[in-house]
Amino acid sequence: MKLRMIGCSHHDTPLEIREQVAFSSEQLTPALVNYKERYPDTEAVLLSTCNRVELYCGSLESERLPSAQDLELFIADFHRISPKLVQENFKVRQDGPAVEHLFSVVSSIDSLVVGESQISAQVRSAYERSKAEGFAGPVMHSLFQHANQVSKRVTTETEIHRRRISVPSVAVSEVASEFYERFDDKKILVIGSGEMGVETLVYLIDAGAKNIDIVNRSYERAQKVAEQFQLRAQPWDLLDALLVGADLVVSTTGAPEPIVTEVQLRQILSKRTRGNLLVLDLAVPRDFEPSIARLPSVYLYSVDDLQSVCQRNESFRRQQLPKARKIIDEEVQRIIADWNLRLSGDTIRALKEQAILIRDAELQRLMSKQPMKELSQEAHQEIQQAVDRVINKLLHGPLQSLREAPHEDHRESLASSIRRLFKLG
Amino acid sequence: MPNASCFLIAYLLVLLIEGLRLAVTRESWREWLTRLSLLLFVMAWMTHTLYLADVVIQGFSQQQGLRYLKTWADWSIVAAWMIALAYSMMLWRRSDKQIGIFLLPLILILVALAVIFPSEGPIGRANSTVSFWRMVHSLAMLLGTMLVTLGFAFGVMYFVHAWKLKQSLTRRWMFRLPSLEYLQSMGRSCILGSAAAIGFGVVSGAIMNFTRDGFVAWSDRGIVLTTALFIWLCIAAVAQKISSHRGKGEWIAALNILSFAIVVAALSAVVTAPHGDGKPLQDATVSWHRGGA
Repeated sequence: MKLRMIGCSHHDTPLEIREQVAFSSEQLTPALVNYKERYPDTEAVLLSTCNRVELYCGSLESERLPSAQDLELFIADFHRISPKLVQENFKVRQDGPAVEHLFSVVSSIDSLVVGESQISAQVRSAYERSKAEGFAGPVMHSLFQHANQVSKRVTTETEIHRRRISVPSVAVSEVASEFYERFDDKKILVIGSGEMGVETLVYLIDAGAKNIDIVNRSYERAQKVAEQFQLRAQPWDLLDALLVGADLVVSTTGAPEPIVTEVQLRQILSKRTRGNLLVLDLAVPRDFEPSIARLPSVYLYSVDDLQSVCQRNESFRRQQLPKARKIIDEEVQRIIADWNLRLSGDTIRALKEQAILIRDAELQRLMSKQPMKELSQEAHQEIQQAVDRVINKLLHGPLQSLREAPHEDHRESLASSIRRLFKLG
Repeated sequence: MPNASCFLIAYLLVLLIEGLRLAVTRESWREWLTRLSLLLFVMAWMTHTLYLADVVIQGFSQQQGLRYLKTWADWSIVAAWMIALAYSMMLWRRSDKQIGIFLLPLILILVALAVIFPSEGPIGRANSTVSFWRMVHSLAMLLGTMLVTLGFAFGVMYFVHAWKLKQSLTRRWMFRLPSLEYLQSMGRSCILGSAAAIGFGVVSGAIMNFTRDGFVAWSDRGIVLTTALFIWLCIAAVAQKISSHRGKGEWIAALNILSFAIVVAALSAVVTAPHGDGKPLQDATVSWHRGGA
């Protein structure tokens, strides 16, 4: 089985170039159809995300595989850009290195954010598309199914995905959990209903939070978000009253000045009957005056505080890289060995089948002649066994060489020679 | 059979590894140390359990059963075992948290006291009826003391964790502790549980004394202090219930720490009182504390 891939990624290709060579979801099928018209005897999977564009091509025989130049030209022609641009920015890998690259991509160790979870689904989706539309064959099936297993193995055997690295997820999973064991009985106030607020809501609900109020200067906007998550929207005027009853406050407004001052919060605290107040101020500029952090039973964290946790978690994920790479190396060895074994196995089977066909045809021709018809059953068997022995002795040498080839390359070369010499198709 | 020094050293090693975990920043090394610490703790606790099982088996072979646990040192080892049991249950759910830094020193102190000061004579004198109440009294007081000790550890953990959370997150967090809510809830349970256990201990002690001597010497130093401890724990239990919600965690933590200080004072008084040496007491000073505290 032969494999060649061509691709560019965030590592060394600027965004302006990636934008030019990316395939939109509408372009993916036409591109694969175009590819298949050019190279009908090969298989292909096209992966295009915001960080990478990669085309994987496979064939059972290396001669049928398009060359690197062919692939560069294909990309350039499709996007109507200069082949030189593709040549300068795309990297070509084949066989082992190509497999290793795909396994690194699917395990998210090659991602911009190491350990991000989207890429494995994107790779799976690219393969599923090719499979559904008939562009994937035995090489791609074997490669991408194995890639899926590698992704699962890296997920379970390393902690590369474990620590959160986005500010809202860290706010909920790492900071709020230092205060509270459970969230279903906590009163939560989300101030602001922008993108950050909505993302935090997702994590809060995921952690079990039920009692959530949303306040926003625009009540309609708060109501829209509240409806989306089946929560309560409250008018802005009730902000102080809501702070009196809250256990956890997440603030994400775009206000240019703090919306809660120390003096204001002191008054609020004097009316509180609940325990600690945790304030996660995710807004820039800040929504809560920093001096609030000094007040007793109030814990205030800003975006900077949370960013530092994110960076620490990212560094933790990077510490998992050697472990993930070791798994990938093992799996690359395994799939290459499997492919080589399959290739030699196919050759052996084809050779034996051809020999049996020839034997049967020759024996039939021989036995149909008159003198042979008079021979006894035992004599017939003797002749058949003699022919079998001749075939076995003739095939023994080549088959043994193939089975005992010391290196994968050698075995592959022998298998290829045998297929050519015996015209095994 | 193992002796107390065996598991004393093993617990000490676990504490050292826990300390090392604080200094190590590399996550893979921390994991490795966590596993090592868990393994050593299991070994220490198993040795501790075997030691106590041996004492109890010897007691049964001499038809004394649990009464074979008769010295202050024996009870100190049992108290350490119970705290270690509580620690192992916490580890089961929270092996990534460094609770051991706070609980292991308490276990070590109790075992070390038993090793350094092995009391020779049994606590008090007793006939079979008294022995039953003495055992009930001893177990109740032991449970109460253990809960106060655990409450102290939770109280200290609460203050350390609250202090840590007040600091900027940009500083590397050394301790990984359970949530403030968990520490507060455990602290509250310790106050309520210890008040109930010590109360039961006081009542069973009074019954024991009355059965044995026909009266209760309420002026005895040990009785005065344990009764005071019980009253204090009742006040603490009520105080944590009626306190305002704001700052309640700190309030419960402070009550637990104060309770522990009172327990230490009460225990010191009981151990150094005349009934602690196992000698027959003067009639006028006979107290129900001969059965132990």
